[in-house]
Parts: sequence; C-alpha cells; structure tokens
Amino acid sequence: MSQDLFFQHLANGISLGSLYALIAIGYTMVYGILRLINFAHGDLLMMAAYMVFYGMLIFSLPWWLSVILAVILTAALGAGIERVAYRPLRDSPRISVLISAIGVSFFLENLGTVLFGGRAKAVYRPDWLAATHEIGGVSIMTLALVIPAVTILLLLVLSYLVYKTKTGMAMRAVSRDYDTARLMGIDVDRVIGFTFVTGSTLAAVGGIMWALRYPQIHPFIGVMPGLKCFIAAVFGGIGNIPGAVLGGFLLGIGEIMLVALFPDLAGYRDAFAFVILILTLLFRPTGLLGEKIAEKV
Amino acid sequence: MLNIQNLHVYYGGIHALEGISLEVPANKIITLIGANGAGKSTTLRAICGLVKAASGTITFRGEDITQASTTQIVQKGITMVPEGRRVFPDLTVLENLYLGAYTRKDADVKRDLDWVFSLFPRLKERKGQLAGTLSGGEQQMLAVGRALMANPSLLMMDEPSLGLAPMLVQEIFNIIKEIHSEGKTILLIEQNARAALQLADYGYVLETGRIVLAGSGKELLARDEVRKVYLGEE
Repeated sequence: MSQDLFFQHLANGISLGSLYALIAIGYTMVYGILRLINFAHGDLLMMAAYMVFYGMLIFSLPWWLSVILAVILTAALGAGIERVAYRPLRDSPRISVLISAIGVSFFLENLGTVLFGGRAKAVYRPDWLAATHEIGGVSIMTLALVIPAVTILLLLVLSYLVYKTKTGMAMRAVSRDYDTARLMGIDVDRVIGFTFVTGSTLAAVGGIMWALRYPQIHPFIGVMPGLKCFIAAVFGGIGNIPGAVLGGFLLGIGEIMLVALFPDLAGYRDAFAFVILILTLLFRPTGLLGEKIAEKV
Repeated sequence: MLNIQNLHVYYGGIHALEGISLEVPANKIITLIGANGAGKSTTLRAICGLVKAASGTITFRGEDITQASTTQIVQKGITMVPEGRRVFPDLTVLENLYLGAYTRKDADVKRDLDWVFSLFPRLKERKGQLAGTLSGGEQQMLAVGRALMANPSLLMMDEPSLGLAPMLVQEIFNIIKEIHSEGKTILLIEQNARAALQLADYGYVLETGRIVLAGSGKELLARDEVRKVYLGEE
C-alpha cells in the first residue's frame, strides 16, 4: 500500500473511530453508574437522526436548528427512558433492568417503524460537508474532518464536566457507592438522570453525524453502531471513559485497516468487532484500561 | 435534639429493630453499645434515612424526619461516619472533603476545611492524593473530616475505631472529645465499650433489636451485666 493510500485509510479510520468513541462513552457512563448495559442507547442514534430529518422536512427548520432541537429532544428521551424503564427497577436484580433495556430497544425500533415507515430515507447532506479537500495527496471530505473535531470538542467538555465540576464529583461518587453518596447529601436519582442526559446528548450528536456519514436512515440503523460501540466500550474497559474513547478509536481504525489491507475480507468487516469482543472477554475481560473491579457490594 | 419513639425496622423478613426509643440531647455524647447484630448500625441508618422505618417516629429539633430522604436529613444537620470508613477511593482527599460539603451553599466551607485540616494535619499534607492510597487510620480521619465538612449539629459515628492500631484508637477518641468541645452533639457506636462509656454522657445497651439497659456512662460501667458481657470482666 502506498503511503498516500495509508493516510487516506487512516483518516477514514479516525473519522469512524471518533464516532465509535462518542457513542461508546454513553454505554460506559451508564455502566459506570448503574452497572447496566443500556441496550436502548444505539436506538437513540436512530431517533436523533430522524428528528433532524423531520425537523428539516416537515417543519422546514434550518439544519442547525433541527440539530440543536434533535439533541435536546434525544437527551430528554434518554432521561425519560431512565425514569420510566430503569428507575422503578432500582432495587430489582440487575438482570431485570437489562431485560427492560432490551425491551426499550425493541420498542424504539418498532415505534420508529410505525412512525417513520420501514423504508430507508435519504438524508440531506449540505454541500459544504460533502466537499472534498486535497491535503498532501490525501483527499478528505469536510465531514471526515468535522466528525473528529466535534468529538474532540465534546470530549474536552465532558472531561471538564466529570473531573472539574461539583456535579462530576457527585457522578464519580455515585458510581462508587450509592449509600455513602447519599450520606454526602447527593440526590442519587438526580445524578443518575443527569448521567443519562449526558450520555444521550453524545448519542444524539453521534447519531446525527452517523447519518451524515452514511446518508440513509431507517429504523434499524442504530443496531449495528450500537453493538459495535458497546464492544468498543468493553474493549477499552467498561465503566472507564478514557477506555471507551481508546476502544472506539482502535475499533474504527482497525475495522477500516482490515478492509484496506485485506480487501477479500471486506465482507467480514462487521465480524471484526465481534471477534475483538470475544477475544477481550476471553483474555482481558476488564478491557484495555479497565481496573480489576470487585463485584459491587 | 434527636428523639426516637418506638422505632421498628425490617430488613426483608428480619425484624431488626423491635421498638427502640431513645433521646439524644444537644451537646451531649451518647453511645450505643451491644453485640454484632443487636441493631446499632440499623438505628443509625434509620436516623439518616438509608433504611425506612416500618413504624415509630424520629424527630430532630422538633421536626418529624421519619420519612425524609437522606439528602434532606443531611441538609437539616445530621451526618454519619459510616462503618468501614467508605471514603471514595478514586477521588482525592480534597475532593472527598468537598463532597462532605456537597449540600452547602454558605461561605463558611473554607473555614470548616481549615478546621478539619487543623484537626487532621495529615490530611492537609495528603490533600492531592487519592483517598484509596491512604492508610486505614488516615482513611478513618478522612471519613470523620468529610462528615464534619457538612457542618452537622449531630454527628453520628459507626465504629470509628474498628480495625485501628491501639495508638490510633486513643487518637480517635481524643478527636471525638475535641469535636464535642466545638459544640457538636455526638451519637457514637463502639465495640470498644469501655472507652465509649468513659467518654459518653449517656449510653444505651442494645440486644437483638431492643434497648435492655440505659444510664449514664458511669452507671453503665458499674453495672454487673455490662461488666460481664461487654467489658469481659468476671
């Protein structure tokens, strides 16, 4: 492979990887605080993408306003799901909440089919996003630059939120120990709700960028990215935010490079992520950056 | 200050507290002693709302707090140093202390931080360190300091000397005295019954969810049944 071609693929891999990273954070944050794999997370991508689509099509809103509204509504939807489907099960065995999460996922997919129809719809992609640039022999679409830039910006905001603010301190405390967090006067339910708002915001941005990258949407577009980002979170060490980012980037770059180096394996592209999952669980179940976590008492 | 009337608590099917009544007057040190499983910790957990009372009432400064949430109770001025310290290991010492002041919006947080640092100079030296890297004794001091950061009027402590070296145990008891002299009311649970009764103004002896004896620290120390069962004397 020539050097130019390598950088071409690398740029592509970074762009995909940053999407994975953004979405994987939502899984890892919810896991960190509830010890729950939120299977409905992937479907939030789909809901956000449709909201932008209909915001522009039916309500004739400018694209930026549609995006802002879709992000806000998706964040509210994420918090609403927690309130309705997870909070009432707070004292139930963990498996009940997991089943509830799978139920919400199926519900959203089928609700999407009823509301939006099962046929795929073409997404409007503004010209300036689709324009390509020649940079040092590599041709890159504006979108492929925008995606990592947005991701990095959101990562900076998130790190500030989690590590520098009082709310972030409360989130870290709650993810350790509910009862002791309560003794500090922390309203645990509110912190959990806020965590869902944060994760869902990232999912919304991820979903919208996903729909721009693969400009066709249908009610099941969230399934595969959802699963892959879940894998990225496990690969990086579930519960660990830097781990989710690392896992996301490695998975995205790995997937693109696999296809680039072995074009014959292109059909197994999706299998790559699942092989990674199996290997992680077999040989390093705590993930790359995961700590040895004793079962929560 | 704190008054408990006929408190019943169930854990699942277990009747953990079978009608406890006790009184914690302001500016006193009150201690609960008793064997493991007698209901001491459950009593404290019920006061701060971590377990719900099945019946009975808990009043704090004349206000019924039986059904209040832990967040509300902390805001009203009750905090607890939980059994086993329970510091947040992956937060720094300073972050742990600020979490103690989580509900406060007044300007005196800094003053209380200085006070905590003067009580526990070791914590000041280690304020940037992760709490999980502290020794057991330092973690206990952090847990006490964290509870003080809420500026409580009633401080409850669940086995603060458990698992500490004898020298540190003495230090913890000295600290409790010092905190008390600053005008805090203290409700203390201790395995170390002798030290607790020597310190306390008044004590209650719990057995299987009931109060079987009550009296001033001196009275209880002199009682035969206390000497035999809790002080190990013949």
